[in-house]
Formats: sequence, C-alpha cells, structure tokens
Amino acid sequence: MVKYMTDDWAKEYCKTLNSSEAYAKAGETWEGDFIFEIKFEDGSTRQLYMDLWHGKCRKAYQIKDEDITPEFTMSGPYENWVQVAKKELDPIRGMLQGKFKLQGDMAKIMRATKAAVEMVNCIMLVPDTEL
Amino acid sequence: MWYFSNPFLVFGDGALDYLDQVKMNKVFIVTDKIMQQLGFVEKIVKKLKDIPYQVYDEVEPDPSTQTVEKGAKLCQKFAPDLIIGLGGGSVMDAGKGVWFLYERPNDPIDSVNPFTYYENFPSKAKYITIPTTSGTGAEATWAAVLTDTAQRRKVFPTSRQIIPSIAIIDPIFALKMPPALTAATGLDALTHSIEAYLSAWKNDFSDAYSIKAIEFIFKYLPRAVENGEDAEAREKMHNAATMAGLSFGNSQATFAHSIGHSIGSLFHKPHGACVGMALPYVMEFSRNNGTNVVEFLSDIGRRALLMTGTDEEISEQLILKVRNFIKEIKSPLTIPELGISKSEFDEYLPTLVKFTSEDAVISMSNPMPNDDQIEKAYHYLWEGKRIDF
Repeated sequence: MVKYMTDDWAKEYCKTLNSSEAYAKAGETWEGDFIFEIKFEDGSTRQLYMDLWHGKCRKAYQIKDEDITPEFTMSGPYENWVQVAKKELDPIRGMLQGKFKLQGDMAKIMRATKAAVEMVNCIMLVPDTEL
Repeated sequence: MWYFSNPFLVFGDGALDYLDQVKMNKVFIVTDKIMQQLGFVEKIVKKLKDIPYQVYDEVEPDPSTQTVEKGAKLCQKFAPDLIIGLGGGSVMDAGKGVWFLYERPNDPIDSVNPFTYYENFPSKAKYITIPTTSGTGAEATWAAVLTDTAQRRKVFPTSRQIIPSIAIIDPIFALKMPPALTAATGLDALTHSIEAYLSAWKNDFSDAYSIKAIEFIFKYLPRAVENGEDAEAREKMHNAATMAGLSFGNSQATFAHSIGHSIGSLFHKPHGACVGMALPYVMEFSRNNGTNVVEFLSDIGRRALLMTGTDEEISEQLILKVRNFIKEIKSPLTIPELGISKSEFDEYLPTLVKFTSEDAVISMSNPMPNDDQIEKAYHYLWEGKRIDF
C-alpha cells in the first residue's frame, strides 16, 4: 500500500501514467511539468512534482527543498483530492466549483483537455492506494 | 453544488421591440453579409433611431479568431456600450469573442477558460444576441467555437462570464429560413437536448429545458420544414432552440457533437445535419455502454413524447423515432448521404478519429468512447448500420 499524495504515491502514479496507452496517446504532444498541491486541514501543504513529456512521465516526486516553477499547478484541499481518487468528484467539475484551482498557461491547457482528462483518470488507477 | 447560467431572455412575436427599452449610447453590430442582404440589419438599425452605430459584417461561417480580433479592434476604436450579435451561431459566437477582446484586449482569445474569474468583466458594454436560425442555441451559451486558421485548429473560448447579457428570441428572423436549413438547425437543437440529457454533467435544470425542447421539436419541426410560413411552428422552434441551448450550455453536448465538429471541419458540411446524423448512433452507443442511459432515454420518451412500456422498450422506441424523424425531415442518416465519397472517407478516417477523440466535449459522453470505438462508429455511420457494440 502507498499513502495517497506522498512521494511513494507520486512514483507509483508516474508508473501508472507510463503504462497507460490512453495517456500516452492523449499526451503525445504535451511538453510541460505539473505540480499537484495538496492543502491539509492543519494549514500545511505538500507539493508533488511531475515532469510530463510526450505522453510519458519522466519523473515524479514530492518537492522538499527545491524552488520549482512548473507550467501548471493544480491545488486543492486533501479531502477534495480524496474525492477524486474515489471517483466522487470529477476534477474538471471540481475546478468549476472552486474546489480546485489551476494556474498556468490556460490557452495551452485548453488545447490539451484530453491529456488532462487521461492524466486525472490515472490518479484513480494507481494500485494499492491508501486514502 | 452546480450552476445554471442564462442570459435575460426576451421572446415571442414582437420581442425585437425590447430594444426600445435598452439604454444605449453607441452600438456595435456584429453580423454577416447575408443578414445585410436579408434586410435584418436594417430592422435593427431602424430600432436604434438616432443612436450612433457601426456594423461589422465580416463574420464568415466557422468564424476565425482573426475575424474576431479584427472586429474587436474596430470595436475598441468605436467604443460602444452595447454590442449586438445578429445572425446564426457563427455570428453570435464571433460576437462573444469581440465582446471579450473589447473588454480585455490583453487576454488572447484562445486563453478564455472556465476556471479563471475575469475581474471587472464586463465593464464597457452589454452583449445582446439575436438569433436568426432556430438551432445553435449560441444566443444562450457561455462558449464559442472559433477556428484558428493560421494553426488550422478549433478554439473554444469558454467562460460563464461570456454568456450574453440579453437574448432576444424573435421568430420574425426565422421565417425566411429555407427547408433544408430549418431541418438542419432544428436537428442541431434536438441533438443538444438529447445529448444534454445523457451528458455526464446533466442536472435538474438542464433536464427540464431538454424535455420541453424535445417535445416542441418533435411537434413543430416537421411543420416548420413543410411550411416555413407556419408562424406558430416557427415561434415554438425558435423557443425550443434557445431552451436546448440553455440545456446543453449548462450540461454540455457529447459524442455526437464531437463527430459533427470533426466531419464539419474536414468536409465543410452543415453542422446541424452532421450532428443530427450522428445522434441516433450515439444514443445506441450510450444505451449499450453507458451508465443509466436506458433509464434516461426512457425518461425522455415518457415525459416529452408520452411513450409507454418498459424502460428498455421506450429507449428502443425513442431511438427508432429519432431515426424516422431524421428521414421524415429529409436529413442525412449516413455519411454518404452527406455527400462524402468513399475515397474521401477512407482518406480522412484517421483524421476524423483523431479530431473526434480530441474534441472538447467528448469527455462529457456517457461513456467516453475510446479510439477503437470511435473508428468503429464511423464505419457504422458510413454503412447506416445500427450500433451493436
């Protein structure tokens, strides 16, 4: 079991992206990195970094002492991320409802909606995730 | 939590007179050359009396971002406090783009997205839509479909904030539509209503508009196609198209629109005919593979068309009714009937599949088809076979 939204989980998520034919196809022209920012009830935050390149995840890990400016940051409370993993919340709907915030080049993400959808689908496919 | 966005609606015979009540100092009219030729622009201009106005009539079918940018520059120079989009879906969508860029000239049109709140928008002008066809629903939606001709791709500026301020739904503008255009635009509205009811984002409010729109379209579209001067049929179809726009605008279209957008952009065929053709196949695919789709289809049959039977029976009756309805109004049910040759179809099939799979609304489908299913569906659409997978 890997604890959801941790460094170990990020690495498993990276493997899941790399084994997804749907993501490989949808993201074949995608070049850009992503941060998932998780906000906890106690006020702390955690950031998971993903380097995504032409339908593959080149690396993923929890950011500790680095100052990274990614192309995109998707940010939201931990309980909302859990709802996504349980398929209780469609993340696009979540963003429209203000449950997640997305920052970055919006014109670029609007051209890559399918890659974004497949990327999110893979969140739900990471095996043995402990929520 | 969810939202329902809509413009202030003015509808029915004489609705255009509402312009007399709108406060305005300078008016910028976005339209096309056909509206000029039909005398529709003149109708608006007469209503403006002595108010200064400028007409931008360069909107083309499948309008380009370049057309929108040019219109926005003219609009900036003219500095109106009211923009009117007079025409079909292309014009009204172009008008949304002109409005946005007039208000926020530093934001690229392809960056307009539903996740950003645009401060102080709108602060310079209101946007009034006046549809002249009964089908696109663009008068009541918060998205636009534009084409970036330089990069040969579709652009979908989408934001709840670009929903028109007011929509004037006056059937007088629909009276001159020829039968083929009446049928195609009416089928677009039917497809909006049914897809909205099956969409992953369906909701109580969009469902209500879908049911009433479907009832009206089955009842009045054949009459409007048969006799364009049937004033009652024209008025009800005009209202139905806006109801369908409100429905899918708040719950999204699905797979049939992805097919329609793809065929339309590659072969330049009428949008309504393309999506209408795809509709029964997509209903079959969704029924065979989706979640609760049999129940949703039978809801439509019961509520809008007073069908009786089990859910399975009604869903089948509804699909057959849609197929027969398309034939009745003499609209295409297969790709060859759209006037596309086998060699063209074979040559462009991989591109059709790619475009469909990348289309903005496909992810709202119930269920979302994979590429193999999309390709198979195209073969069935070519042959006219009912979807059995």
